Amino acid sequence: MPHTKYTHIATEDLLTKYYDSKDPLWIGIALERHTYLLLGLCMKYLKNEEEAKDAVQQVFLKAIVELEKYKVNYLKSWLYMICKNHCLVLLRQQNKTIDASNLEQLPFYEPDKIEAQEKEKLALVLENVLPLLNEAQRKCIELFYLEKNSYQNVAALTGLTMLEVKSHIQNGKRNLKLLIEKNLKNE
Amino acid sequence: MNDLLTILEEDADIDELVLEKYLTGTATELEKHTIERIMLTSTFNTEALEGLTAFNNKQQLSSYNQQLKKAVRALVEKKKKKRKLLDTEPWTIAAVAIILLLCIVCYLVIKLM
Repeated sequence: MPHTKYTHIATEDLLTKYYDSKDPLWIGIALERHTYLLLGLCMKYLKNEEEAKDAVQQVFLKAIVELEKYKVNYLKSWLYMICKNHCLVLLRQQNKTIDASNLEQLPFYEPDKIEAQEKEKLALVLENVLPLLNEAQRKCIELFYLEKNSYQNVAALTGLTMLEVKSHIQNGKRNLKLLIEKNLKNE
Repeated sequence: MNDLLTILEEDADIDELVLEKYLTGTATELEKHTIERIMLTSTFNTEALEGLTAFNNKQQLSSYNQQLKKAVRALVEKKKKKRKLLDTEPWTIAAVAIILLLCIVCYLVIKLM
């Protein structure tokens, strides 16, 4: 039975409920929300469907044991860290090559919440910095974020490949964030 | 310009049903856009989508997802049972111990008679 009656409870609140009651039911519901992401992450690193499924189950077990020992505030980022580390350990055991960029210790990150009052200001800054992007990035960002097109559609509209579109959107997004930071610092 | 603010959204959650539609190629244009936008909100999401699209049979993903959820529930049940045992009231444990002790004493007395 899916836990549909708990969908209104935020994941962080499920963790609070668990730490207050020690009832593992709450951890279970929170973990169930991440099955697809964990499966995808394991598949990305292990490149084997069965191994990926097994790895997710091991991560679940690890999570249930570890969450009992210490307090975790941001489940998703914590799960990302333990799952990725678990996959890297498995790859090392199999003597498979690991991309050096994956070896660094993963930091915890806490999502930045944009306060409502800041949104208006940010929208103005965005408007100012958007034209500073190069033509391809700006076009892809506009078609994707403003006109809500899929990668496929953006590719059809620009004549670029899907990979190029994805790359322009990712790089454009990163550049916009940098430009916003720079702009806000100069204020 | 408010739509552009979604560029700054952090770590949005994914609707599993829409994700399944996306992976099986049955999502609408807007749903495709939504999944692709959400998947850009964190490294976890981006890498997960990369992994999910690498599955050979996308139709099977939903069943894998259900199997994994089932596995979580089984782990939770196991944990609950273990916890229940540890949480048993001390007087219950004492009563069981006394009954067992009495049984052993009775057995020994009968055996010796």
